[in-house]
Amino acid sequence: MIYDAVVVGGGFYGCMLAVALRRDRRRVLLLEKHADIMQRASYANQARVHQGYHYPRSLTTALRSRVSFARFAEDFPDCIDDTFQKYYAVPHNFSKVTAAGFRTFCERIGAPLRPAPRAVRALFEPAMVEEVFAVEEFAFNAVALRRSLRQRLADHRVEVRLNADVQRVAQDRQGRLKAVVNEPAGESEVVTQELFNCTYSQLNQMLASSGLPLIPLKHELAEMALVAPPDALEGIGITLMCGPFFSCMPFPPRRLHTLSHVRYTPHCAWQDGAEYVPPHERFRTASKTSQFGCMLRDAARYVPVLKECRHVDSLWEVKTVLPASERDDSRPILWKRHHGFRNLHCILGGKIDNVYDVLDEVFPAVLSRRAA
Amino acid sequence: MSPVDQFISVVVPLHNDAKVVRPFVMETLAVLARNYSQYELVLVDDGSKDETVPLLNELLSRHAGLRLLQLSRSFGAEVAVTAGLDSSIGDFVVVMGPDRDPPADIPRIVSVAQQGFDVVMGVPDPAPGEGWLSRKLRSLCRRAFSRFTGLDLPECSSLFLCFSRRALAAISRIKQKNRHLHLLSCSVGYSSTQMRYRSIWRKGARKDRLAQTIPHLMSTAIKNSSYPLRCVTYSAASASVLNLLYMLYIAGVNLVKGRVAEGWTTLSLQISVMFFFLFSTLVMIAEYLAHAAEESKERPLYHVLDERTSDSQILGAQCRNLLILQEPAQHEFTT
Repeated sequence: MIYDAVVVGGGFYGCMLAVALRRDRRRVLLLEKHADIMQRASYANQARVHQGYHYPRSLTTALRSRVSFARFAEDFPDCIDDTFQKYYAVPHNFSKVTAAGFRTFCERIGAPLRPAPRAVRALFEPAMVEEVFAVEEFAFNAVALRRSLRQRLADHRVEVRLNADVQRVAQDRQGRLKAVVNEPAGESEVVTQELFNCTYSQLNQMLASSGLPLIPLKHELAEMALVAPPDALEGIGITLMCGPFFSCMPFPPRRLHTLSHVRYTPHCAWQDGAEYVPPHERFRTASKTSQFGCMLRDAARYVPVLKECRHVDSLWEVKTVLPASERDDSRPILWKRHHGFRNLHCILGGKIDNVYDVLDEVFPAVLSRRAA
Repeated sequence: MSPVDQFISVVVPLHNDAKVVRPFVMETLAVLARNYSQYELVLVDDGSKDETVPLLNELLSRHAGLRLLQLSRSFGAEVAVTAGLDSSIGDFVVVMGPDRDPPADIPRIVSVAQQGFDVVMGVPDPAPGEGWLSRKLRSLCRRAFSRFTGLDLPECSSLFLCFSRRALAAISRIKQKNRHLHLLSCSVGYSSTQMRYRSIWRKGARKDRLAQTIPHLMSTAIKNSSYPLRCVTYSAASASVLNLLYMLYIAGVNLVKGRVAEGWTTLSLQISVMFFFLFSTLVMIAEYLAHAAEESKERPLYHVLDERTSDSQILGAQCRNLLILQEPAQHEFTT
């Protein structure tokens, strides 16, 4: 059987793409190497639904986030956790944005911003923090999102194969792509007209094993501490802007808070290069010594009550960024058409709610101009 | 928290220190790794123009536990240290210079702090690389300081310091521009002690010049004490009192002698009255200036060292959380 399209990688982007592809393809197959969809970076992340606040240094990203948010909220109303109040604080020192600057920025992108109530202001050390704002930002529940996506895949009759690890891809004379898939039952071959590589950090793995040029990607081994927040922070999320600071916000699937820190969340970083090691392989073998102590020590200087946090666990994952996006803090989506082979496309997204940028802006172009 | 679990930060200001930075960093990291499980070495580059920053970047790519704060231009060692302190997260924070202070003494200064001193000031045994004259002058200035400010400064101190987290929090609340660390740490009033140590002399270290030392001490003295201004007040006050006495003298001479040169009385009186007002005004201005200078430092009114409550509460175990209603009197039941 020849598929019309195969999507490799059952993360949020892969699933959304597979569903969208069903609009005009008959046979769509989704291949996921883990036992379920949304197991890796789509689950292990801050669970922040961006509203633009986070990008005072990249107006485009901020504005796009606001547009995407409305769509995401409409598509997945049951997956959004809005049971907490989010606060953004601007520290006196080391911040790349001032309180006045942040206020102007929010006005420009039309994001609601109010001064924080006195009781919340009192949680912050006044010598360290210039101003605290109440904002409208939510979290998503990755488990609810997984459930919702499973339903969508079934509704749109996307064929899903779990525990299916794509080894390599080749192209035959007729231009069809042949993927060698490793499954518990053994190795098999999948033939398709078109193939979408949505494997995030593993993006280059398929390319490397198929002898195709690599895409310059930077990876970080990231740790987010899962903490039981003190009573004072129950129902409250905090982010300090914009520099080597931290965020402490609800992680709905576990009913805990994540504590992540710009300085201590990345444990090590590397770039895909000549001696290619698949990031998941590095992830598996990396030593994972928690830096929770450092995160807490720094965070408690700004919010003393955080000292009472109890460290329950840590979420570890490989975070992948395009080297270009490091400087200006923007998170553009990588969209590489016909990479190496005709009809082999690579997609890498940094934020869950920006998936619509791919679906809307890029998709019609592909659908109409698909190479025969 | 046991001492082993404690996080140690070391803050080092660097300014054109390319010659000493590599051996210093290597030595310090070795000492930290040997003694502590959690540590950071915060290197603050104070607008170096030489090879310091490329060297640091190279060290950063090779070794763990380093952090670099690069200031936009040179602000002076004290401001650089302040930036480092503001960014350090340690339970104890050691400040040291890269060229004179021995990394091997870090565990010793930290252990002194761990004994319960919030501020430990290192006092170098022989002040290194310092001429006799410079040393004498410096010690003289320090003694004058202590007199002016009423704070107990060590005779001869270096940048080698160790702070506890709470002392640091208090110091960071002081927004004063002139940041003489010893003065600031004395003024917050936490328990402090001194530790003698033998300073080292790294190859390539810069010498202190007397020509730089004296103006620095002078400006620090003026910025940190209103004592010089008080001296103005006192002398102006005495001058105005003298003028007052002189007026009386003129009047006396006029009364007793009767015959004085024409115009002397008027002229003298005019001058003495004018000077009296002039000096009185000076007194007032000096007083207000001193007051304004004190206010403009934006120091917090006080720093709380600790708060305790007596072990037993007034509401003891015998108090019950019961609302006891008055029992109705017996006769109300009888009809």
